[in-house]
Amino acid sequence: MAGVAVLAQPAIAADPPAVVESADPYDPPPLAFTPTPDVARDFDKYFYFHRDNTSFAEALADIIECDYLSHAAEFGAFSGSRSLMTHKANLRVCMGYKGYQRYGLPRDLWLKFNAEDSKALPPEAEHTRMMMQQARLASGPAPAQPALN
Amino acid sequence: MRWTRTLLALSLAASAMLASPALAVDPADQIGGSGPLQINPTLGYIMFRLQQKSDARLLRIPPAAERRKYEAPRSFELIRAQSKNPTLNEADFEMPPLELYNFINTQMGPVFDKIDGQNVYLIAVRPGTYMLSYMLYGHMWLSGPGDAETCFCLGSVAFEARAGQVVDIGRVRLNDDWDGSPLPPNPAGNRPFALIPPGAAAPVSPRLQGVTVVPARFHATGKIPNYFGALIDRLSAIPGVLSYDRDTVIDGATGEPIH
Repeated sequence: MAGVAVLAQPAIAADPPAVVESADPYDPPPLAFTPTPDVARDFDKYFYFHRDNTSFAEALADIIECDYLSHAAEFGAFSGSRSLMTHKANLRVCMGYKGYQRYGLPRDLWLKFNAEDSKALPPEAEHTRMMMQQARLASGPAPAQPALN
Repeated sequence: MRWTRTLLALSLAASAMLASPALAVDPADQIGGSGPLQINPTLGYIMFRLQQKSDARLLRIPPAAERRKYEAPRSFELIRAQSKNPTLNEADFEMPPLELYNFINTQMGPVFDKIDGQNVYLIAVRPGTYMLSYMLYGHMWLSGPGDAETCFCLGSVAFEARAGQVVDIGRVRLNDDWDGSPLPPNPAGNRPFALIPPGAAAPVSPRLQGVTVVPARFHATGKIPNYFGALIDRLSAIPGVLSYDRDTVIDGATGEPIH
């Protein structure tokens, strides 16, 4: 639980903050950014999901299920050997069939609630926090930016 | 929310299992050669067609009695595992799923026959219920992952292979087969695979004269774990057999969802 305990501490105010991160560890970070062509080029790699008229509980169940199906199941013969690209493609397929749409993000924002290491999942508390934040985004207000294909 | 918690636990458990030992997939008993097929009355035979030579993976669905027998020595296996790892709790101990011992893999060759431009494959199997679970597309190894290996983890079909006869499951249309109109891409932009059940007038290999060949009776199967960490997708809908309501697999025969 160490990860959560640290994250639950109030954010230390920077000089002066444009946005203040929530003290609730499961609140997603503010996602405001300027979509430059450089940033948009990487939208295939860095994205989050949203679906209208979806409760937090539904979104969380969907995210957990798709996360589970997207990498090798326990005892899988080739566990951990797949690429991050496969994992992301699988999330797109699994969440896409569920009717979620995809929205691009800059890498630094994406890394706040996603792990880039394809060899191992993050520690349990960290993994839980990431999926909770993803679920809040997926069930939260509709994104202002257009959905990706 | 109970199943959500279960899935969460499974998902988190996966992180602890990344170093688990590899389990090999058995090669299928694939029939080549020439001349009439000599049937072994104790075995079932599965026939399918591919436009391009490729590998396929089938899952034999373990019968309930086999599952009970497999799970019976759990306490023995737990003690054995604890002797190697004294900190292992009973709650954390899981045996490898029985499914992992029930995959078989066909290979690009040998081909049983070639008819109407299609490669006809024939494999001999233990009689039972089988599921088309994976398509290994391209030049790949039986025991290794390929980048385009696709699991039909999100929806597929099962069928029965009875002893002493050939069950014809039709043609597996690979995602870049060149005939017909291309299927719309999946949400990741990849073209899907399709199973085309055998038509009534499907020509049969002369090598099967005198052999009982039956068209497969398919039923839809729900989601299965991504045991091998492959790309995930689902078979395209098959009228009367398999359809989808968003991601929910629908049994085409009853219209009921499969969970």
